[in-house]
Amino acid sequence: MGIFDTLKHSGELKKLEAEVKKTPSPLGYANLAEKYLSLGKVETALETIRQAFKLYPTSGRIAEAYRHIMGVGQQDKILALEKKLSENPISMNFTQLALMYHKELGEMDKALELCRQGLARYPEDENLHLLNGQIRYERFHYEGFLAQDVLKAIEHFDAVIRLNHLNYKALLLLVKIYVEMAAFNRATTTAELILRFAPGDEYIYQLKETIKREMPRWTPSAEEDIETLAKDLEKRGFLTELAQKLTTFYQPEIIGYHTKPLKPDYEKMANLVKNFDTIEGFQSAAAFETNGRLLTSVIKPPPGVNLELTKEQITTLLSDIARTALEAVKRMDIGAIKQGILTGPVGQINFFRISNIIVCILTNQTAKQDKIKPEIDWFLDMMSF
Amino acid sequence: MKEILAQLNQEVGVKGSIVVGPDGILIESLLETPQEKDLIAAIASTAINSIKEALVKVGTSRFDQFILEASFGKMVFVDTGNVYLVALLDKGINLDNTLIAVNGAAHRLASTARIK
Repeated sequence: MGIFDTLKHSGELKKLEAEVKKTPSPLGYANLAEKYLSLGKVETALETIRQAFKLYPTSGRIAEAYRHIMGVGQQDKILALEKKLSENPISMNFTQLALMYHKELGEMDKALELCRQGLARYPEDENLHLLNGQIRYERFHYEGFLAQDVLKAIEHFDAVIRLNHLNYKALLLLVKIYVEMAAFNRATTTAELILRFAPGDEYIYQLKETIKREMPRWTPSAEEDIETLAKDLEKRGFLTELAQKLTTFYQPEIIGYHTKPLKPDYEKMANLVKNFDTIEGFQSAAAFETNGRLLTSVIKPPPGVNLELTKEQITTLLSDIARTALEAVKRMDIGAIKQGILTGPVGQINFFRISNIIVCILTNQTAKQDKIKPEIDWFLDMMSF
Repeated sequence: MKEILAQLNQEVGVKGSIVVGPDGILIESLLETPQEKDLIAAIASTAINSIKEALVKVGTSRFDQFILEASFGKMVFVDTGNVYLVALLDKGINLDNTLIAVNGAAHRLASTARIK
């Protein structure tokens, strides 16, 4: 780096540091940490992003920066494990590298891919099934409670138990999953399996007793069809209070992901949606739950726009596009939708997800992305406070 | 057509691409996992039809581009006028750069379809 570059970067750094001090925000912290990183100050970057993560545990932007910086910081370790795996592709080396991606970098997809490759070679490996189940289960929590994730988790935990019926972790996680899905009979049966080889497990005993006490209040379905229950939870988009109360014994903690999915503040969200009308070319905005329920909408067709639609037509259009996006990424199995855009004669429809909510913004065709994106970023930052 | 897809797939972060007809039928595909071509074509054609149905309700059925960004991957649908190009992308790519390549491929596809 030449002297002019050094001076330029040092000036930018000072500016970012002052900005974070004066008006702290997820964006400010993420930019500052990335700047430290670009200047080779990996430790300071990590420290900054850790601090930000404590302040804004639900900010997607901070989570992303966290994963990126951690990835750069751990580059040598990753390369060493990758080399080890390519030289000796035994199941343990698949597990180690997958664990590294999962636990230390929060790269669930890479970890899942390694588990998949490992299981293709070693279909009866208990550890790979366990890790695969755990990642699917954690993805289920952080990516909008998608049914296919929890069903895959159950499939892998069942495989673990088939290979080793004393695997405590797999059984414990199955109990948790069944409670979350209100499959209380299955939860009780699985808890009994644990108590058979660990009769002194006070926690599992208490959990079983609580389920017995609470069950009548929740009238679970008699058949406890797992697929139906998983789809019900996906539609609802959050855990019941009972499930949250009963399952505090295992909280997944992945770096770069907030520890507990929070239900967003709907009132705050509705107020923030109104602010989108300052975007040039704005026509309307609406927020829906992922199950399609309309939460709020702002319709402002500007004069002179050749689009005379009723409020109902506009909200239906936005809802249909959001539903299409949700379905497509779900079927592709690429996690939950983060954002997207549809462009065409109808205008531009930008949409993004926050927790169990999809927000859509319809603007005319000439609206500029560099004006829309900052507004969306600002919205996401405000919602993460 | 395959050449256009092959060229597109060489771009950084492009994991595969397919061409779907207006009736939702798979015309061509070039994917990392070829065994998934029918599944991906089915997903793409359902998505395209859903968008068209939604747009018909407001008096149009055309769209230019539909971009989806999910936690572990991205998808781009481009209406070339005759056929739809669907590109599957890596989650970490810079979309602005890749979109130039995707749109270039879409233009070439439109010309090819016109000549045919």
